[in-house]
Amino acid sequence: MKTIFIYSVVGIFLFAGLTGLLVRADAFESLYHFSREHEDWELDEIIIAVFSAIIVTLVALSIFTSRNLRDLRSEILLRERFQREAAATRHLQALGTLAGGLAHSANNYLQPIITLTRLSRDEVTGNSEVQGYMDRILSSAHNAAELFWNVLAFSHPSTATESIVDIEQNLRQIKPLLDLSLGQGIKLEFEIEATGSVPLDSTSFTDAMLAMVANAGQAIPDRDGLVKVATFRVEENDLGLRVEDDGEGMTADEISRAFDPFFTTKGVDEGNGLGLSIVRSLIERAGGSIAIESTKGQGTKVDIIFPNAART
Amino acid sequence: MTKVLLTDDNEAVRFALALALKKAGFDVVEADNGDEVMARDDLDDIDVVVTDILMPGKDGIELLMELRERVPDLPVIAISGGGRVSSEDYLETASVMGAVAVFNKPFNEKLLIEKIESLVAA
Repeated sequence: MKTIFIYSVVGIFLFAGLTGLLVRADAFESLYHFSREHEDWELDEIIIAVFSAIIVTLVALSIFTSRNLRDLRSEILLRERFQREAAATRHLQALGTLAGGLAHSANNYLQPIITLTRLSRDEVTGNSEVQGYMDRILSSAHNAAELFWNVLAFSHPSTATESIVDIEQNLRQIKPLLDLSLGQGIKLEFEIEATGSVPLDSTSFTDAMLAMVANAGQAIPDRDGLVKVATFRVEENDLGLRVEDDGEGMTADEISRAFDPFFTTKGVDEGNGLGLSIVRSLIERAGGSIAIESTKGQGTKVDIIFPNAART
Repeated sequence: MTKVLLTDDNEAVRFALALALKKAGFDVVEADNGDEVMARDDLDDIDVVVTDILMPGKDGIELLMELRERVPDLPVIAISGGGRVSSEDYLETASVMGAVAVFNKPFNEKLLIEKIESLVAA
């Protein structure tokens, strides 16, 4: 509308300017006399028609141009967004490769730590205190190993993935990764009240859980809060999976747009808005449904329902 | 005494595993890459080869293939820290190439010892 208004004003000024020039040159007076001498030519009517056509054309041109500019602007914005997404994807792929290399090196460092600690533990049979210290070293080293194997599995999904996933088993397996995605300060709790198998491969399941848990963590101000992952039975045969946070919550408008690709409430470096749209796509492909329940200031629940999830 | 050839480019890994194998009563010889293994002239005296998969130069998979040609009855156990591909891919590739077992690092060295003992007993 603003563009139409500006073009119209410019057009009127040009028209007024041209008219002023014609008046100064006595063009209208000359035209009047000429038309009186040639009344049968109906010059008055012709001139009025021409001026009307010019005005209508100017108005139509301004409307057409503003629409074109608006479409062009949208296309440019969309293209820029796609370029940003492509760059982010390349960055993620590079991070995946880096993570794989890091995990490989870490596993090589952990092997002598674990083996030599175990051998040393066998040598101090009479000293339960020292054995206790070594048990702690072994426990930490095994936890680190599990975390690195989870990172490796995430960065290089197996080509032979199962297309059925046991929800409880997979959740417990990826818990170290989910903890890592939340970072310091935010607690992750599991509440497994039901379990079952769903038609989803483990890689897609991991991707979906990471996206939802990371989103939940980012909604918690000052990195001090709780994210809960729960499972529950719905009716007799359906399995529910919930990711809940005690963060900032969402407005009705944000909820309605949460699954739109590229919609995000985060800053430029904090997310690309693809997470929930991809999660919904993955869940719906597995025959499930996803819904958000949230109130601003009171946290958010994201519920997934898998119908007829086979009990395990 | 059972003779084990341990191949890994990581010196700390070799030290730790060699120590564990020696304490278990095996005679251990070490190599830090596949070329060094294939250059040996005593492969017929080796009872079991334990080799890392990801190594510079000749990697464990290539080594496996060459050992199967040169000493077909020599059992080879592959060990892997993961990295370029998932552990399942290494397991499958090494098994296809003829490895009798694959252990993902960091593993319990007692499992490796048990496997070697079962191979020797067979």
